[in-house]
Amino acid sequence: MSEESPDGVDLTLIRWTLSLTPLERLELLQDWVDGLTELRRGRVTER
Amino acid sequence: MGSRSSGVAESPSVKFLGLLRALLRHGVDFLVVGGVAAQLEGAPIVTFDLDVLYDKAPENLDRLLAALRELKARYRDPAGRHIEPDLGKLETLRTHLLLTELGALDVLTAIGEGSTYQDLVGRTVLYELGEMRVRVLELAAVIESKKQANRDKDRAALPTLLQALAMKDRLRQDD
Repeated sequence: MSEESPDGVDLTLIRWTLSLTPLERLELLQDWVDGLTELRRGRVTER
Repeated sequence: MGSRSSGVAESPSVKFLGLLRALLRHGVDFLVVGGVAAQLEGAPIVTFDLDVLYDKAPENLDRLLAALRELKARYRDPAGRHIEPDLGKLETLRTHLLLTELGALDVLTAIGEGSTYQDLVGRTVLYELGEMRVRVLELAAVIESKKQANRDKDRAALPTLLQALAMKDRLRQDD
């Protein structure tokens, strides 16, 4: 279950991000960006 | 979030490590700032470009230009013109919003209310990213720059950045 701050910030995600190494944090960002870019381009095929 | 209207759909997805590697290979003196700095500092922020603040020393401009040429950088021009960076532009303009073969790269001489490389190099953290060592603006300074820039996307990111900074401080106190 995720924990949120009163202003709606996902504290669980922050805690998890902080547990990663800097390289892992950058790789995580790269994964997010690659996924979102594919979605924006409409290249994700329906299953 | 750092989305741009100037071409994510038609531009290559940004490759953060590849861009950093190219800048370092040419010996460019730069600081990672913006959303990537926030992410490296542990604040989960999505951004579609790499923002770097560069030192305007003449020899560094030469190195930066060489890196940008290798990356086939051109300005993200809404009119679609092909305009490449050159020494004159790197020396005089504050903001260069570029598209490279490895995605969007913003190279800047100042952020926020005019803070330069020299102003901020003392507020950085040196991170090892695999074989690379990269200077990254510390989260508190990223927050200050976002507050000063005060664009919609900066204001939207602030709650996450502030919560991450508070959590980092708590973790530091617990150690």
